Amino acid sequence: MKWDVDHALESLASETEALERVRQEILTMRAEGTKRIFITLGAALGVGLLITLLTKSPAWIIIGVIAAVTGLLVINHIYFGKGAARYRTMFKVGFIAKLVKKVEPTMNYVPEQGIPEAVFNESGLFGRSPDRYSCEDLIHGDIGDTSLMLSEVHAETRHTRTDSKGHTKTEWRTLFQGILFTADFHKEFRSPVTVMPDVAERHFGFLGKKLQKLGGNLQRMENPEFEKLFVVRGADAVETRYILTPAMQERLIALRKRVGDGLKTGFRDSNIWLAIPSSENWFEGDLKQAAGSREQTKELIFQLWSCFSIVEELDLNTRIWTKE
Amino acid sequence: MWGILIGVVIVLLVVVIIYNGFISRRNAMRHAFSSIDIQLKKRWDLIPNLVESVKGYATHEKEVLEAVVAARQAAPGSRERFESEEAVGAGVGRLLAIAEDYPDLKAGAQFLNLQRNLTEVESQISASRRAYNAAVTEWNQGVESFPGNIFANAFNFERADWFESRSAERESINVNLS
Repeated sequence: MKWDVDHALESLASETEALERVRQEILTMRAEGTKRIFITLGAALGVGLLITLLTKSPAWIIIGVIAAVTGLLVINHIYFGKGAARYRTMFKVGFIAKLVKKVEPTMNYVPEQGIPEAVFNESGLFGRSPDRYSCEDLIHGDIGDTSLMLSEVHAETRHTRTDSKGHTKTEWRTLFQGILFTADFHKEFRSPVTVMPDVAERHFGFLGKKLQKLGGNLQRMENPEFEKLFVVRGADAVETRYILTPAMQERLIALRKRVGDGLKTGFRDSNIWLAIPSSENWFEGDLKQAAGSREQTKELIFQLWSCFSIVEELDLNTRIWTKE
Repeated sequence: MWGILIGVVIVLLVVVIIYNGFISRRNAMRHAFSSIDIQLKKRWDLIPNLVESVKGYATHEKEVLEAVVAARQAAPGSRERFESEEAVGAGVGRLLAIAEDYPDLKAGAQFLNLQRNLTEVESQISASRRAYNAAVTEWNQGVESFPGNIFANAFNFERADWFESRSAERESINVNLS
């Protein structure tokens, strides 16, 4: 029932109606803006062309173009920019936040916040700290006995190059973009463990397998499929296996099949971190779709399910060990 | 002359690297084995409390205590020791399962705490055994593959046995913790 789209839409009908009214106002404003764009373009270019013909000075057509571009920028800002941003925020607060509560009453949604950079660095999954970090759509709370937190994250690193002529060029490379998920793990442990995609073995086969050893603390697991997909590093062989039980290995294989081959998993300070790469912008309302659109709600519910179901998929609520 | 000298140095380096590889694998194996031992000791320490908790509900707690005594007396690392430990593990499982028939026992804070601790220890024992088997696999690969086998013969390094659970342990003990 909690993942039922129609039920969610029915119970949030008043919210979607209010948002739809706002959306219609914005669309009307945009239609007005489009009309004004054509008028501004026509007027500026027409007047410019007319004066050019009368005075035989081509400078007027250039002035006309400048006036048209300036007008377009102003109209765009007034009629398009603000409206879309306003709707985006209203949709998040007025609909997504309530949808989160509908599907999981113990979870909270804070659209303007995200997982802090310090927590991102703590995960130990990315090798280095980012030079530029942005995050949004924080969802946090408890599912059963498991406390969790997730958000969209875009972390980038700066790379500066100087060519032979002394020109410096700076470019930004994505370190991670997608969903960062962190939860309280159901077992206590001391030494960190990482489970990364096995890129070396996939690309270089036997040689890649040998190269993996160079990274240090390599642990080979018994499950051949798991070994093929992931490379595990942990300082303590016993603790690594205490965390990565045969069942947990199977669960991570299944999760990786669902979320894609870029899945990175880290275990540290009795917590689990999952980095799920995605270039899509999650938890957004589309101005082109009705506020109560079934398709849009279905997509949002699917995104929430993708995140919340991890607790069940990894069996994090089973608390039969000493950690309660 | 220089060529011979360089050749000798290279051969010596290879010998040292391979020999050190064997030593580090053997240490990993010993470390993993000692981890099993530590966890088994933890289980021994918990068993008297478990027996005390289920006293009055079961009559076969005596068998478990006897198995613990036998395991303690057996030489560390011997086959008898592992067989006794398997009997201890199976006995603990049976004692925990008793709680299913006695709701007041199952709901008791002391029993629940013991149950959690024993589940923890069992998970740690399982992890230690798996770590030991992984270390044995690495060791055996070194002993049996070329050129490691030449060195293994020269230094008398022998194949090690994996830790395999016996039939008694393979029988799953269904303990419902809900």
